[in-house]
Amino acid sequence: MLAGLETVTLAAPPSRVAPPPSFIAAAPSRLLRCEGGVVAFAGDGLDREDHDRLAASLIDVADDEPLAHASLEGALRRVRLDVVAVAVSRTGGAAMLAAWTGVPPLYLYRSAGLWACSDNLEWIISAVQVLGRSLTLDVRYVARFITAIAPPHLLPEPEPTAFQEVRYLPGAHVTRLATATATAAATATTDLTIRRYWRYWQTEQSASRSAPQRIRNALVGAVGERLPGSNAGILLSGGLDSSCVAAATHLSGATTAPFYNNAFTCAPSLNETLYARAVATHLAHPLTEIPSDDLWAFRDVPDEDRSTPPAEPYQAWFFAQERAVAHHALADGVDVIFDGFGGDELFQPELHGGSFGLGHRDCHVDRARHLELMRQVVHGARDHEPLSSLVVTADPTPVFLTDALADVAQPSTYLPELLNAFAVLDLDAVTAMRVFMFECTHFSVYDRIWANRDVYNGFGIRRRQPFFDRRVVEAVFSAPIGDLLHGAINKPLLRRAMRGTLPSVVLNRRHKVTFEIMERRGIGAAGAELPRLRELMRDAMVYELGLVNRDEFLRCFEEVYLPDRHERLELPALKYWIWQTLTLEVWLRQWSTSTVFKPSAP
Amino acid sequence: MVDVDGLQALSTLTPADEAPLAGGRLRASRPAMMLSLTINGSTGLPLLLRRSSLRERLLVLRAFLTLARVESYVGSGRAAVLLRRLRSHPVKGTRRPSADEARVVADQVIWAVESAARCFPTSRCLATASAGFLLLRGAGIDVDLVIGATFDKTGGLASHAWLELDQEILFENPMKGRIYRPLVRCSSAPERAAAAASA
Repeated sequence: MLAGLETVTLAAPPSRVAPPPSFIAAAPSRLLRCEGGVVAFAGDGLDREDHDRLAASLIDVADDEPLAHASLEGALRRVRLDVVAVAVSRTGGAAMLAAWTGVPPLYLYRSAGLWACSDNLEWIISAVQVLGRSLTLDVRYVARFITAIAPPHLLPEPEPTAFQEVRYLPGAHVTRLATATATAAATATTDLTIRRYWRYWQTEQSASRSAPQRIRNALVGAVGERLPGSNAGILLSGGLDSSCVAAATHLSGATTAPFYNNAFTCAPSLNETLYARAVATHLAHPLTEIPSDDLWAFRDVPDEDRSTPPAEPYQAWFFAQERAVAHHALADGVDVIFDGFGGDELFQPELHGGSFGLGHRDCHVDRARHLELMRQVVHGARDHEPLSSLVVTADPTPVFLTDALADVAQPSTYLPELLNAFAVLDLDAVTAMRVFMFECTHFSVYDRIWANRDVYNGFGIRRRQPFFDRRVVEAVFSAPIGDLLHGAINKPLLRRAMRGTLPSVVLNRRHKVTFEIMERRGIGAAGAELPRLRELMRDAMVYELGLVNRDEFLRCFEEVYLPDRHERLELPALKYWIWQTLTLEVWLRQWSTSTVFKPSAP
Repeated sequence: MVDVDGLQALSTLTPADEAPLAGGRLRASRPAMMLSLTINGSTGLPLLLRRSSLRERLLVLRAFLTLARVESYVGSGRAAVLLRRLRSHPVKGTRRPSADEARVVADQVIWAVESAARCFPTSRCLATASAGFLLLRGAGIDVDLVIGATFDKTGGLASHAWLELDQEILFENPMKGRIYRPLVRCSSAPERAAAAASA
């Protein structure tokens, strides 16, 4: 209880064991009481001076002081790593600071006179349970989840979570909860003021010649500053991105635990171990190869070791592989694992071309117009078509959604909304496209939150992505767009930046692996998980709740995942929708016996 | 996709079909077509080669010329001749690279072919797979070229050409190797070629 508020939230650092279901956040990273109020911080690396300055600015924002935002942005320039904070002023106002790129996350619960904010959604759920309250399924979230519409994580509005009462606060923004309603019963978002504090695209442009060195220095700094006091490991797939992180770690002079590599011997198309070995040999570093042939899709999902259901249905592709890495890292005493997430989003702006926030590449956005726009960009044209000219030409909505969901999952209505919201940033066409590609066309925020919360934090390990470091993002955005595009080579700027630090066989590698084989081993025609999943979907909760049409779903499931037929190649989106529905069903069942959240029909 | 009519014709064509006049239609001279393809396609090369290393440029140029040659067979209606030449194209050299070495070389060669294919807007999988086959065999790597077919959702015939190394499809969705039934296989392993022929 603080300053007349019923709750305040605090965030805890990861512990060696899964956090207990406790309402009271007993161990915030740091709690500061200052003249104007109290501020709780959580996250990586923040020294005392930074804390004081940031705390004072946040309190000013909470009190809606003039010039508070300018002061906050100045204070944030000294913050190097990923921090979230919540400030409550003595006058009752509150301000919530989300991290640069939205991870660690920040969730806001508001319902019937109570608000709470935490970086840990499970803690909010526990708090709600302790208070004898309940949570309600958010249909809007479910619709977008199944349809795999990528969330616009960094737009100035709270995003839905699986629960109606909880919202995810967008990264790079500070949210102010108005004093008059901070403790009132209001649940509308109108009393929230959300303002962006980080405009990375405004970084001073660097010359083409100096851009690679600047990026390399930023990456080395991003890795090196996360290492002090840590025993770090690196998840080294053998791809370019994770190899660059490994090289940056080496350049930072840090000593780390072994590199970890999921080794697939069952199919050459999956096997990147030869590249991982080349990197390890080049950097004279030990490599732990984790046999992963048996770690197929859907293996160990749901996780029977959990005492409570996971907070959200999101399930990244191969839980068992991630957990195998976590087990090895725990045995080696590792407390931080780096990976190469973010390399695609930053260095390959055309990668998600055509998907535009819809999560899959064949989503019927007008690809020809998109390609034409990219061509204009490459040739340095000044008068581009407006971004809003790229419209959806069809509605890629799963046929098995019921009317209750189909109405809220129409990309044809969603995309213009997204573009309009984006227009408030008032950017030129090229910058808008870069920012849009970086922020709105991928699931990496979900992946990063999921990997930490549902896999690594339970082992007391933090999973970190140096490519999402503030300085790396700014360094990439300061480079001319032409440096990021090449007629025949992807990620040319990253390759230039890391030239000489990696073996040529890795720097010149051109093709990525595909995980079709592991997917097939799990849920293909003779998949190990198929009997269980078939049984699961015979009488599923998603049918009972009126979310999914049973007959249509079963028809699609049999058609797309099971036989080796031509349709399978044509319908990757449908395949993904089915995957999402399966994970949703597993999640709903795990919650079915809970008292705090009983899934009910919309 | 492979031209299905052409695919069906492959098994029945005889050397006489190589005559310049066939099916009542005048075929373009293959060398003339190759010259035309090379000249037209080369307009796209500067963008491809811009800011590339010398090694990369040489790789792409070589792929470009090989692809122009292959396209001249396909474009002039001589797919059967092309297939016969591919079948007789030996694996160069006596030293066989290890599996890892072969994958690394294949990664580079296939990339070069895929890049060069952008200079030929009408290029299809048969041409790119054939060019990759010629270049990889020239590099001492024993790849197979496979042409397969399947039925699509409407009951129509769909076909595809791809490369295999150690009996696994190279740098494409591996499910294609299961979905398309191999009909033609250019392989140094007689039993694999025979299996496709019997299919």
